[in-house]
Amino acid sequence: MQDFVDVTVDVLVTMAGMDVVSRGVREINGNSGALEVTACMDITGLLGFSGGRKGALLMTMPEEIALKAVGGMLGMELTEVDEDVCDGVGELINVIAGGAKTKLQKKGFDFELSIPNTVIGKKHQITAPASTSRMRCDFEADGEGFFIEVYMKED
Amino acid sequence: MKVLVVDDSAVMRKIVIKALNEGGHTQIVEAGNGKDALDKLGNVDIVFTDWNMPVMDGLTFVKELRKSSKIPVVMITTEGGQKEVLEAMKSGVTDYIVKPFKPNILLNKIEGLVKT
Repeated sequence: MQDFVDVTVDVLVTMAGMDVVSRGVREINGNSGALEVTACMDITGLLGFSGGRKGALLMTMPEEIALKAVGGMLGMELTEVDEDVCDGVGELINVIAGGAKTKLQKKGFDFELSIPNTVIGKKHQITAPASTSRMRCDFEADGEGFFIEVYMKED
Repeated sequence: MKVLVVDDSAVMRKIVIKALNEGGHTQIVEAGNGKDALDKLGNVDIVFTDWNMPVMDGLTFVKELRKSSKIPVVMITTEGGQKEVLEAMKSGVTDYIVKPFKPNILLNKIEGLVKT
């Protein structure tokens, strides 16, 4: 999980010029139902991985963070969630997953990444099967919070 | 110098183009995948391409390109593993940039490739 955290900070600092700090990793103990449910924010980048390990990575954030992040990447001020913002959030999750994959390959873990998806909508939810472990890391950037979650299928 | 920028992400293309423009390179052609790139090659002097793209990926594009051209190709990708870099070089990629990257590295690559 720490590899995902480190890459998230590196990507947002390098590509978006943001000042990002991690607020710590924790395991999420889900509900007792058939699904694990993540209560997301306004916009979420989501990507799956398969092969040696199966799971998914999501990064969810308030609209303000998405606009700052993608605006930072493009070197311009953005005021609304448009195609570029959706594409940019997808690209961010893609780069984060790719960077984490490269680090994990050196530790003997190899897996393939899916294409990234972006989900838009206030307070949307992402679900996964109940047989999934979840690790979450909260971050803060410019006074706003956002987080990443890594779902991993349990063997 | 005419530059071809190939990536299925419009935002990524904009980032690369912005960096190139700031370095004085304003003759830019864009493509969203490898097939589109082959159609738009024309008389470009250097190519920056992503790896994972729909329709035709970057590696396949480079292999096709190398059948008729020796122009420099820089791959910009998240695939940073040793195995992947080697595969790209064997396919004809001239140089490699792993995302995330600072924009000035693009200009450094052009400078280095033009000199060689």
